[in-house]
Amino acid sequence: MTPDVSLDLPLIWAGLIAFAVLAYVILDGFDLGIGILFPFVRNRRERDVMINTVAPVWDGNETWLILGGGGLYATFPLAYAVILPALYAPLTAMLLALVFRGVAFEFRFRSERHQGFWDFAFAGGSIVATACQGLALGALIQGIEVEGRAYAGGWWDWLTPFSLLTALAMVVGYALLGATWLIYKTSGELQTRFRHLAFFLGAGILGLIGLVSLWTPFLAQHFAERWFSWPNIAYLSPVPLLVLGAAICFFRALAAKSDAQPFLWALALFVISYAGLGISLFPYVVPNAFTIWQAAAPDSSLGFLLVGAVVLLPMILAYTGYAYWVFRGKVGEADHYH
Amino acid sequence: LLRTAESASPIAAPALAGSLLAFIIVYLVVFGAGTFYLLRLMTKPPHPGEQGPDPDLPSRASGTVPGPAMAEGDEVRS
Repeated sequence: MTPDVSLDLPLIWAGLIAFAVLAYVILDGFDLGIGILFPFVRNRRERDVMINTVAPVWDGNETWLILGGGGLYATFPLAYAVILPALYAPLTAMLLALVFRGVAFEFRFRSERHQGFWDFAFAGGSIVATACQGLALGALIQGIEVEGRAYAGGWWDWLTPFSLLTALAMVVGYALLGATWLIYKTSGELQTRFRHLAFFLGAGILGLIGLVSLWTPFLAQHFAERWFSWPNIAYLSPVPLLVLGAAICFFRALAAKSDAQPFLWALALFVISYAGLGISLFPYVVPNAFTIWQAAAPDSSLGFLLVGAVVLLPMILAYTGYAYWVFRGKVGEADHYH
Repeated sequence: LLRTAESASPIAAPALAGSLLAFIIVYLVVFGAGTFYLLRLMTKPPHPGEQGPDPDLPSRASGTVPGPAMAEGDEVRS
């Protein structure tokens, strides 16, 4: 059974991988954010509550990282072969940080005496993993040196002022998702504290989105052309306006002491920024080097893999949705899903 | 035919050595700690009349074992 060859399979797969990465960013984003917020909460019981709001769902959230990475490997092997060597150091550091963070979930409940260390591993792992994702994003946007069909840059090309800015933006952004998630999942004094934090994080991320957006057109000519040439500027001017609109709605929801809305508007900010990034990069998968069609695997491979994706993706979405439904509602100090 | 040498990625040997070493150290620490906690739990023998986990509570998330099974020498967390 081969799908109709007239389908633009590279485009479909680029969409699927973009979706997987977005799902990863918004889902693992808020649970990494909880680790980033750990240093702001010293009380042990409150830390337990924070962990327990994500304990039932966090490992499922990382499914999407595997799907994005594995999907890129299978369907855009050229992009995988160029991007991964370019980002070798930050991605390795990210994986090591995720190892620490993952075991900290289990070990911090196992040992009262070592809990301080595992709390440190949880917070440190979350912050390092997030910063590495930001560095990787910045390195990808600013461009990767390519010669022929291979990476041609140095070891430290990923480390620039721009990538440091995107790393900071990522940490602040995930902390915002974490804080708004905790507003949704907690109550009382703890919730009030996260409302205050979310206000500052929201203001911070707005400034950082602005800075990154203003810097990007100066990195390369094609970004400036994409956004500022006529008639694109007319079509695309709603994007920054949408960011502003979502930000206004976010601050209003925060002021109105809404439970769920600050989280939803923070998600909206992420989705709009991600769409903006997509507009900047499309149709390139390696900026200014390879388009999705140049980097794609043969159509026969893409078609074969698409059959698997069509079966698996709805299943993953269904059980993920079910898990969030089962564990809906507020989490208090008495709830520990042991 | 694609030889292994021709398909190697352009990553310098010291970078590979560094990451390999980092993975070895992290895995030693993590699995070492896990084995240590397991062994400590096993030094605590079961006794008659012991209460198992409450069957009414959901049974999976972080902290797979309830408070009473905490390792010896730690405060029991309720």
